[in-house]
Amino acid sequence: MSAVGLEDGRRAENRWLIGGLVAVAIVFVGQLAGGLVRADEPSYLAKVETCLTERSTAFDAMVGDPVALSADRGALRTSVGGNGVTVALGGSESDARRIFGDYEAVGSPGARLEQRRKVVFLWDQPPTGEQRDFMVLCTLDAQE
Amino acid sequence: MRSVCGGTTLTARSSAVASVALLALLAFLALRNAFTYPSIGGYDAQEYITYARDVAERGALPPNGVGAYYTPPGFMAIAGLMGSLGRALDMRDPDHLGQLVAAVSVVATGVVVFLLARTLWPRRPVVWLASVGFYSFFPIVLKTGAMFHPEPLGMLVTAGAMLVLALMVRGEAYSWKLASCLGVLLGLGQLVRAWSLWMVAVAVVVLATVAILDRTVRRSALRAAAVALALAVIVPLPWYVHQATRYSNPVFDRPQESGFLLSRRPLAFYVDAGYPDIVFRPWQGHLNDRFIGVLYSETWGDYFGIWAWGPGRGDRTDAIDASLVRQSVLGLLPTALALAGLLSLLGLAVARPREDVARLIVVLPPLAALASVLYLGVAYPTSDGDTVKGTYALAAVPAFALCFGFAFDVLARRRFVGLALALLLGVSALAMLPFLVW
Repeated sequence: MSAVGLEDGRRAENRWLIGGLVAVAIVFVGQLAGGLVRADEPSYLAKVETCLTERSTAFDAMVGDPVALSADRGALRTSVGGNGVTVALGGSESDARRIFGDYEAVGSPGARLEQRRKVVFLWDQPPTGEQRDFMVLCTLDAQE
Repeated sequence: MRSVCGGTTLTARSSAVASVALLALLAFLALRNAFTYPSIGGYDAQEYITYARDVAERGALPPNGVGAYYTPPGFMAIAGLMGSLGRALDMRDPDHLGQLVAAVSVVATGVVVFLLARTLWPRRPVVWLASVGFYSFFPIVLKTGAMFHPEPLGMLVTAGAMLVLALMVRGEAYSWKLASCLGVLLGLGQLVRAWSLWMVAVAVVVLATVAILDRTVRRSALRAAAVALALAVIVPLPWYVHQATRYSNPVFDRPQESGFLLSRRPLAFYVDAGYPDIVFRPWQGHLNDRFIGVLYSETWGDYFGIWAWGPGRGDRTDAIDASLVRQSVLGLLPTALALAGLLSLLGLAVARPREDVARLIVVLPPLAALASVLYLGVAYPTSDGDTVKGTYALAAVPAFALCFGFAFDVLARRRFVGLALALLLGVSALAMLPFLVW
């Protein structure tokens, strides 16, 4: 190929690659914008509340428990099969570990206290398998 | 021969040396992973192991409709023999030798990627190195290469066919010898993985395009296409006959939903990548019914939990989540460059067809593989995205790597862009290394 042909080929490659990059950028920006304008996701606490509501399980806002109230993603009180439980949603595993440690430090919760990744449960009584499974299921999103 | 990259010149020799170094690293990782990754850890591994053992020890294919009965026996026969060897050697897990077949295939394909780049762009050493670099650090390659899985061997055979096709087009040599070689490889590919059927179409389209555009080689190109096509049919024929006499479809006989194909999935499945989940929550449970999101997350990270988390590793933790998010972020730039390279080569192939027909050899495989994965995901919808996997498009990775190499080379003509990209991608590759080691 002559020098002129070579230069022409290089220019064509540059042009087409810039076109390709622009097309990809448009797709990326479109996806980004689509994600941003999509309806805001409910909070993790709201997702747990929705799950409880769908399963006809009453819950209350958290009051009077400074440890639970310090959880990054919030906390609530509910009762499963007659067994009351405080559900604290940590913002991270380390936040959940801190909550877990605080509960251990202020009492002897033993089997009443559990941690599932970012979620901490403090039961009034040691939970049955069924009660535990119920709460684990309703906090799946918040665990991650 | 020199290319400019980041204001420095890259000679053919230094590009080759750096490529060999990358391939050596790839070989180390692939071989190590083959012996550390659990043999039953990969996709459908138990079915494949049973299949391979039955083929090697009893000469028996899976009973009607059982296990991976729709998978051709090429890989199973080789991996099964390796497993038998492992048992003869009294290995603790003899099936690791089956994984070794996949690992060696991955490394050999890396060599073919280098040869392909050098054949297609003989005067552009930057393309060679960038293509090999992309291939070596593309997570889906090492992930699948660690598994007891036929896909890497299928990728090697398909890449071999691409190389022969490239040699034919570049050398304008449509001899019986090369055509036969191409046909046999196309046939063998179908005996390893049914996906490689698209490579037959790619070869025919490329040779037909040569015949249309170049009168001087029209006759020999058409003859080569006919020979290759005939062999691509004859070599796997016994397998297809075996399947056709037992099942309703010799390739894949699973029943499909009724209704128009494209209406089986919502519009969002096709067009919505699922941001922000695709970056910040790239794991199963999110991105349901999002083709691009699942494909990207499985390719760059571990959407299905078979590598960084799941049965072999345990439940996800914050640290694992962070590594998956990091993978998704690190994959954005190389994916964008490879896609831009693909689009630009496609544009050039269409707008300036006579200039270089060989561009089609790079452009068509990713498009064909994407179409086949999309078809599978749409024809056989599952709620968990199980039929959408980058693994199914593995055979197109060498071509995708070449698209990346081309884009990088064109951008690297500008001094600062080349330097910045090289640094950024080099750091990205290093950051990705821990994920690639099992």
